[in-house]
Amino acid sequence: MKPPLRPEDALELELQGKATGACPEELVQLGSTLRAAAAQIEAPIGLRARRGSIIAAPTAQVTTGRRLRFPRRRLQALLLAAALTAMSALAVAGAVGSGWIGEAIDDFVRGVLHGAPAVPGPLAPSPSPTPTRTPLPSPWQPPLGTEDAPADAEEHDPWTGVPGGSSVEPTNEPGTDWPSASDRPMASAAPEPSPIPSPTPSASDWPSSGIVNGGVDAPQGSPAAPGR
Amino acid sequence: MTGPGYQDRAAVIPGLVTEAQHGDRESFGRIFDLYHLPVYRYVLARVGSAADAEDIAAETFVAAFGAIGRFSWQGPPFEAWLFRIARSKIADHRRHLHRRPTPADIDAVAPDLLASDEDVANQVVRRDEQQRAIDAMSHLSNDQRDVLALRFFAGLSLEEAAGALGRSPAAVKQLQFRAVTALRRRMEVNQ
Repeated sequence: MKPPLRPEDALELELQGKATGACPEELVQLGSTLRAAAAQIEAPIGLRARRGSIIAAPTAQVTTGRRLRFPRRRLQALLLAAALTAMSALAVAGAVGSGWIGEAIDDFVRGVLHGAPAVPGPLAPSPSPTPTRTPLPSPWQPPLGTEDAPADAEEHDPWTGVPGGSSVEPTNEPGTDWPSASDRPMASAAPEPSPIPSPTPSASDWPSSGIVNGGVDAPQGSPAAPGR
Repeated sequence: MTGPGYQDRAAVIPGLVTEAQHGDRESFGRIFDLYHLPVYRYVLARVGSAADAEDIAAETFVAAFGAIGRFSWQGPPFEAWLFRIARSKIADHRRHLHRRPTPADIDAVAPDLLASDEDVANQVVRRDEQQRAIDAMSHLSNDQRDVLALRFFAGLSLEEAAGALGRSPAAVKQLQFRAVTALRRRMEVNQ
């Protein structure tokens, strides 16, 4: 059986061979070999048997030009996005309903209702005379002026932050586990004589006083002091 | 090559495509009859595995049947459109497998060695040469394999192959020449 290479293809290969210095006959022979190899290949019975199922496939898109089947990957992506959105909404709702975000919103709303500035300064204390949320002191940041704090502030245990106090009452007896004398909360320790009375700082004092960590000598020693 | 030639197909395809676009299933069935063998040969030359080639060819026609409503005669010719779908299915298959194609086994896909009147010894020699050509094809670049499969296995014309590859006919002609030259060198090395 002679390989059925089309005449125009054979001529094309021959011309290309001549133009490039290759042997035209070899190129034509190679093209014929490839075509003959292809001619040996018959369609498998399985593929022919699929003809009926292929043309019996849903054809609504043939006449309308629209795909009716939703791609599975797109559907999976949409379901995943919906699930993530729902989880995010639940998480935000839970934080607003029970967490500190809710308290912050309460403070904000209460401040607006009482005529206070809606957004206080960055270091200004809460304008409310009875703060609903006492900042939790830490051992390395003893709160200033907590002796003037209202009595109900004592309901918060300064060490654990748990209202009502912890089961272990901290003492400053020798041998107990206080971190250090300087770390004691000033509210529970005996008031020590201070060279400068430490009134409760007003809102206008905070940004300019330079008091850091409660040290009264901090303004003099700060690098921002003039003349240094 | 069995089946109608590309000139015969070109005469009947416009009417069949138009009827299939209007929902005539049997018209698409006749399109399948005309093209399933060239598509299968092309896919087999690209992927090597007869089973994979059968599946990919079937997927090609399923996709073509689903998309024939969007085919426009203003674009590339129908053959180019159909073989673009086949190329896309082959690419999907490659991405899925992450492996290099294996050369097709001519004896596995064309077992009727004694079916013709040709001398058996000549048939064996000829088949050996064909198998060497197919083996050498697997060492060519992807574009070179593609153009050889389209031109010599699927039997597409230069213009149809250019449409399927998305290139100009002149570029396809150059690519084909480089592919045939590289194939010849490769067969000489393997000899």
